Order: sequence, then structure tokens, then C-alpha cells
Amino acid sequence: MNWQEFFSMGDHGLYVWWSYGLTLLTILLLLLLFNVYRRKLLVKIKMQQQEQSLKARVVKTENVSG
Amino acid sequence: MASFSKTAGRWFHQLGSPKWFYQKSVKWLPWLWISCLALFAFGLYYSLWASPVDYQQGNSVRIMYIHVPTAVLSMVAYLAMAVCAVIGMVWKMKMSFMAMRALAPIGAAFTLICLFTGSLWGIPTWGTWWEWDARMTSELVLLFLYLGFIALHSSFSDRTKADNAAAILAIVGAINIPIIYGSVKWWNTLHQAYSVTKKGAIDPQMQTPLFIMIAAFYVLFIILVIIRLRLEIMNREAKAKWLQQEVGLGQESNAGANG
Repeated sequence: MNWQEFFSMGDHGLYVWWSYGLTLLTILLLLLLFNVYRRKLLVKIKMQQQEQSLKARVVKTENVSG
Repeated sequence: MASFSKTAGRWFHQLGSPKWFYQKSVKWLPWLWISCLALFAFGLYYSLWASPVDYQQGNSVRIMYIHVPTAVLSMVAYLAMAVCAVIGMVWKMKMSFMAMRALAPIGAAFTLICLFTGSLWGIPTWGTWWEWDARMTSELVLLFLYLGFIALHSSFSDRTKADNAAAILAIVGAINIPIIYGSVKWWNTLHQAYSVTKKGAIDPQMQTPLFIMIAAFYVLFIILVIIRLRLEIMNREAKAKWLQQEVGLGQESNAGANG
């Protein structure tokens, strides 16, 4: 095989390259979606943590005053 | 602090606990990525360059090196999902339902790849991109099962209900897997019969690169499942102190609780 054959894939270049290209694109899109979800989750966890520490402080203050 | 170590102690002693997996899996990922990329480097070199051209199909046979591995994994992922569903329902294992949910989008992606590479292969080989025969229709049903599973799971606000309803769908839908597998034997299909591991059915010069590509896609699949499962743990353990610390939060809250 030479480079010219590699790019043209006989007369099947269109089908072969679209197959490999779209496969790569699908995997990359999946990883991108995971990353977007990860960012959303980090915000959620941060809010959860702040809520918990706020509650802990309220309980502590109540104990002191009581 | 007392409650924290008590909770941590309970998790430590549970095999397959979210905490154990979350902390361990991050160390597996670099090695898995290295072996995945190495396998793809070999696999792609053979499948796109060094493997021979088919005497009838020409270069379009190179689509096989993606189509077959993703087809295998589209079914393996569903079976894994159904097994997780059974374990989750019978033994109420926490991690099992998380793994079940994590598998769905990855299975759907592999099914989608299998379908469009099949269509792109079909145009020059069969003269059509689609035929409503048993193999293609059942694989399309598989895609809808994955999408239905995700939609059903996200339609409940209560997680336990969502897990159980989706688990039932996963288990019932598993009947489709032997149908996909057997479709080329039981019905007269446009799709060719099974030949991947049959002796003499495929030239070794094509079989070897195919096996390398199957291995490469398997490792990629495992990596994707681990990444997605870690996200599922983040989602479900958002309240847990250990997780908040893992993602770089929670120090302040501990100081507050201790002081």
C-alpha cells in the first residue's frame, strides 16, 4: 500500500474514512458529555457540602446557647 | 469525627464499596489508557494499512475492524447491564445499580457506531444502507432499549424507584441479545453468517488485526465504564464526606464539625 492508495482506499475512501471518522467523533462526543456532566456534579457536591457545613454550624450555635 | 470514622469503617469493610472503587479506579486509568492507545496504534496500523484488501469487497472490508468489535461490545454491554440489574434487585448491592446506570450510555454509543458502520459498509457491498432484516432490526431495537432505559431511569425523581423500574426493563430486554446473536442462523438475512472465530472462514491476515481491534475496543469500553461509574458515584454519594474530600472539598466542613 502507498499513501495515495491509503487516502483513496481504492474507490471506497468515502465509506472507510466516514466509518473511522464518525467512530472517533462518537467516542469524543461521549467523553465530552461525561466532562459536562462532571462539571455539573462538582457544582452539586459543592452546594451539598456548603449546606452541610451551614447545618453543622447552626447545631453548634444551638448547643452553645442551650 | 467519630461519625466520620464510623461511616468510613463501614465502607472499608464492604467489598465493592463506592469509596473503594472511587479511590482505586483512578490509579487503574493511566495504565488502561496506555494499553488502549498501544492496542489502537497496532490495530489501526494493520486495519488501515498492513492488512490485505478483500478480493471481492476491496478496501471497504476495512470497516469490519470497527463494525465487528463494536457489535460484540454492544451486546456484551447489555448483558453486563442485565446482570447488574439482577444483582441489584436480589442483593440490593449499591454499586450494582450504579454500574447498571453507567453502562447504558456507553452501550448506546457502541450500538450507534455498529449501526452506522454497518450502513456505510452496506452501500458499496450490498447496494443498500439499510434492510429490515432480522439482524439489522434487532440491533436497532437494542439501540432503542438503551435509550428507553436511560429515559425511563431519568423519568423518576425517586432513585430507588428509578433503579428498580429500569432494572426490570434491562432484564426483560435481555431477550433481544440471543435474538441478535441467532438472527443470522434462524432467519434468511442479508447480513452474513457468523464467521469471526470460525476456522478458515477469515484469512489470518485479517483475523489477527480484527482480534487486536476487538481487544483495543474492549479496553476502551472498560475505561469509559470506569469514567462513567465514577461520575455515578459522585452523583449518588454527593452527601458523603469522603467524596467531598476526594474532589477537593470538605476540609472546611470537617474543621467546623471538629472545632
